[in-house]
Amino acid sequence: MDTLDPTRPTGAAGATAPAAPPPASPPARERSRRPSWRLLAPVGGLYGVQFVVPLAFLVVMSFWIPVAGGSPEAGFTLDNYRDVLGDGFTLGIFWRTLTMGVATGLLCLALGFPVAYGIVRAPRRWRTPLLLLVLMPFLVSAVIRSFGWMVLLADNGIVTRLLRGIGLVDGGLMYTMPGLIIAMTHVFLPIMVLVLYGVLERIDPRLEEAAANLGASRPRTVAFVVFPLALPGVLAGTLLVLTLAMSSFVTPAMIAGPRLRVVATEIYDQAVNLLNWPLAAAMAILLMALILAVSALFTRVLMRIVPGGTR
Amino acid sequence: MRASDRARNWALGIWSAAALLFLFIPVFLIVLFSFNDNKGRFNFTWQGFTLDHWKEPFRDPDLAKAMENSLLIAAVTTVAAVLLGTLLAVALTRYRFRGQGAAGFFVFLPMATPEVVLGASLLAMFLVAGIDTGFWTIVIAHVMFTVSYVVVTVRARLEGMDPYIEEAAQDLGAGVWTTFFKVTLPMIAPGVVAAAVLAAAISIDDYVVTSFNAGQTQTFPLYIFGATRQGVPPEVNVLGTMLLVGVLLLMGLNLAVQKALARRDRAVVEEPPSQPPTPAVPAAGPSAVAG
Repeated sequence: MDTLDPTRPTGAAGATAPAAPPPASPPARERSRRPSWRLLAPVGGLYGVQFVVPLAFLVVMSFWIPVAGGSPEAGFTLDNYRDVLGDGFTLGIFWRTLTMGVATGLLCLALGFPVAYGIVRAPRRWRTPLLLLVLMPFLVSAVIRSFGWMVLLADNGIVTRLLRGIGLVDGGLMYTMPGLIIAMTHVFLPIMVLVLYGVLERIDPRLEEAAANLGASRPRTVAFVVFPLALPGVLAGTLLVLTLAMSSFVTPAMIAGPRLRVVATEIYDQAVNLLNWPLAAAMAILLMALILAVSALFTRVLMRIVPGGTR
Repeated sequence: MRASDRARNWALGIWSAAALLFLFIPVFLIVLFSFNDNKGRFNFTWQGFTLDHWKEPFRDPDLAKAMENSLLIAAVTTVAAVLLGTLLAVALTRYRFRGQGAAGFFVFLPMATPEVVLGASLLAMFLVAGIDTGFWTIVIAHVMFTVSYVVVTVRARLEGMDPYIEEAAQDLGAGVWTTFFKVTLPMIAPGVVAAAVLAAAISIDDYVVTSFNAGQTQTFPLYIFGATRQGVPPEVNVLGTMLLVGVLLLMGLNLAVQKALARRDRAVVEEPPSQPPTPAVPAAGPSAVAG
């Protein structure tokens, strides 16, 4: 579980070796400071070719000129970006992707917070089994889980009948936004619980006892003591789910279908089916830009809320 | 007042229980419907209990081939990603070199990049380079994005390890590779095992990157995705259940290995109780900076 903890600062310890040179053994220090190219060169080279080159290539391609039905022509044009940003239909896809991400993030938070809190405050020997229980659906492929939801959300599916009984929906849930958000929430809930667990675990239970001694009820304690203390984790978890949801492909493709497109499915369609690679590349880059912008916004809010970084 | 408090406490409990139920229903349903005696093309409504689908899970040759491909790709990917990732993690934590920050950033980048973008960029490169997509392009793609997870996992383990032990080995005349295999590797073994499990699980599950770079090759997730469009044979549920059980066993094995390794480490430390193991000065080094 340790390695999965996203709240763990990974960068800090990386600076250990060089930052504290003990005067006792300078020769040893010197040697270990020298890079061993035998270890690094093959890996670094391969990695560069495998990742950096394709991504750089995608950026370049987003400026190329698309040729209908054929391979794109090398050149420089901003038309691909203009096509995405100037078209109501594609802008609508981006907007839908954003709202779907936000809705999924908030729903995951609403469901995940009580669960994470419940696990943290459960008896010690129950904690690991409970956490593993929550993480188990995560071990099932997103494709299979989405397939499970296709069964549940179908016109005569259990969830559809249940929600229809309450009067929340009148038709089926497949190929609708509510159905998509329900399935997406299911896919990302384990991640949210994992992040929140990492934060809630570090909150001193004596603070809650103090609140209880002063007469606060358990829900009041959670709302006014635990939740504010967990706010950095709440924001981090929501951001993580939101960005993952915005770039997810499988669940939207299976549950929402071709009528309710999101950016990821549209990129796939443009690239693989319509062979309009430059447009697909431009969309991919705009999607990354949108995700980065949302992340930057969250980080700013986080900085406001946590003065000086108490964690 | 007290009664309403208790009611609210109950509400919290019920809410949590509902959330857990929500998490489990689709998974439970997949397992349950592998026993469904369904008639039509779609396995969507419950029609009766049968064990038939479990007798011949690989009745459809395409499905069997897809599963075989998935397992093979996962195996090759895991070996390659663990080899590359472990060396990269060692290089990133143990050595100082020009461009180290950039290297760390590039390792992290694939995890932050949307999968569609990764898949599309790789396919674009394969297309332009004139490489036919198929089994090996899937492997290349999988290695590319699982390496990041391996590096992060192994690095976490390396950072908790005293670098002076490796220096001691080198002072005693061990070369770079001897030190790595005889000293570093045994100590980071739990991290490497965890990384291998993670890489295998990610590879078996991946749909998006695979679908871009698969060509005519089918994998298990690709097969299911395609099948949901025309009708899903219940064998899909059977194999899905088998996969779930397989991954659970893998996780259990991982836990067992971690425990065994931890026990071994304790035994090594406790064996010579007469001597204090490490001198105080180097031990203070890492913790002083971390604090």
